[in-house]
Amino acid sequence: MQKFSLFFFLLFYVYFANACDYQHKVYSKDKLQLFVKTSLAEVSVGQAFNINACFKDNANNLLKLNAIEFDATMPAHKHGMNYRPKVILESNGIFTVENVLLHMPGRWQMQFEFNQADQKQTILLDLNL
Amino acid sequence: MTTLKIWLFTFFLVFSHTKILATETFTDAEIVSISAHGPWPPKQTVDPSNFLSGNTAAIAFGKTLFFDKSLSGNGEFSCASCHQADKFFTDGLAVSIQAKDKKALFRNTPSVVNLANQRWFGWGGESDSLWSHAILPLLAENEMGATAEMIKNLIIKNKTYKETYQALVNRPANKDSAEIVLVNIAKALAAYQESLVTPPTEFDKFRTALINNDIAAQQNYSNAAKRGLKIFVGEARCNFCHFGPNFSSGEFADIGIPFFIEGGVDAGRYTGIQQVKSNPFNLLSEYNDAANKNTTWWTSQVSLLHKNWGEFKVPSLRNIQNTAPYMHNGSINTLADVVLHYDQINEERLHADGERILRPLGLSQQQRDDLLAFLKTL
Repeated sequence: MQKFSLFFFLLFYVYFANACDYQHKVYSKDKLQLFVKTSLAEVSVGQAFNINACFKDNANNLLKLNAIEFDATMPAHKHGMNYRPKVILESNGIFTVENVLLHMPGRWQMQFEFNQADQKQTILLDLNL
Repeated sequence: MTTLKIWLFTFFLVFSHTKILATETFTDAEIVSISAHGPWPPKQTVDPSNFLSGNTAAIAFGKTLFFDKSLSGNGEFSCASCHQADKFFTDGLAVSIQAKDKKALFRNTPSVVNLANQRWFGWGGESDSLWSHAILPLLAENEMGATAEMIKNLIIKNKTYKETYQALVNRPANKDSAEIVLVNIAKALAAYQESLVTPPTEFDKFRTALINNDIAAQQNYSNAAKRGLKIFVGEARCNFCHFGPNFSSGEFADIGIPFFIEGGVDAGRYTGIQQVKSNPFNLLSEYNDAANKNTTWWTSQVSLLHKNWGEFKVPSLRNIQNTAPYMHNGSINTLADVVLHYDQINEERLHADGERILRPLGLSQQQRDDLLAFLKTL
């Protein structure tokens, strides 16, 4: 019985402690790190995909955020997406951005926005399709 | 001196002739762009929202219904009355004609080929599935003018239809409400239309040859079409909207075509979004057969934006030379004039907050001819 308890505890710990680490670090600046994983191995034009995103401080601690906002625009064309992705906070502190659809080839700028210690933080990521 | 002139003339003749014969080559970036326009035909998938999608018997049933005039209120119009098989399922007119009084409507009849795997249907994207889009003209008073009750009676009274319906739905039609019969008939029509897929074209063969580095096969594609293709994926940026294997992103754009109609305006995508969200047969309704509703998510997440006003669906360019006239209102008669429209586009007609993708191209006549030559290979 004790071995089973230990097993489930370790499974629980590994799941919650390292869930963010299984994603790719795509941003590291100042006191913020952003890790993402996409549901498609290769993001392509016109195909909807999900983004799993989590945020850490520079001491590698997972930031426990209540909400984030996500948007994507094409700065050269001055337009955004035609769809509003859903942002879901999962139980392990990772955010899932559902059904991101980038409908045109070219340079997209993805924007992650959230409040941290009463300060608005914005992370911009470029993606060329 | 005369001999020198002859030599110079001959040299010029040979040099210029050689230049014309020289094969166009493509950069790596161009090849990547071109390869995105295939493969064709695409892998066949079923529409999860339509339980009859891909069903051979349903496709045959849908085909029969497509050509049956008794589906209309006055018994004079079928789907094929406007979507004529010998005109690439268009009618060759600028705008459709009303069934009742033969008056002109305000939009061009689009083809119904290559519709599988799309998200939106209709010039304004009024429908989010092919089967729900089939219901619109059936019930529209100024189109086929039918009712759900009339269609149910037709199915029940026609022995073949009655038996086919029961075999497909596992239930006799008289046990279903008129609304459910209507939806199932629309789903059979959609199953048929999904099966209308055009074969590979000259362009597709060239694309394959280019990807495989088959120089010999590439020679079968004219230099004019190659130059036109370079313009298409290069300076003209046509592929920004006419993207992918079907040469359409499936989304919407304002390209400076007037949207005034008799008695008002055609707001295109703007009212299209409003219509689809309030459509009782949309993908948010009980009629969506998808087990996983997330596979048909777009209606719940589409944004209604100011820029949608006056936007219309980016049509596929496949077989474009067979589907004149052009634009949502059929206002441009020839493909050459379409090229001219884009080449000389009036930026003031575009939305102030619209996409800065379209601008006058300043193409030479040769370049316009090359672009046209390319379009004719699609």
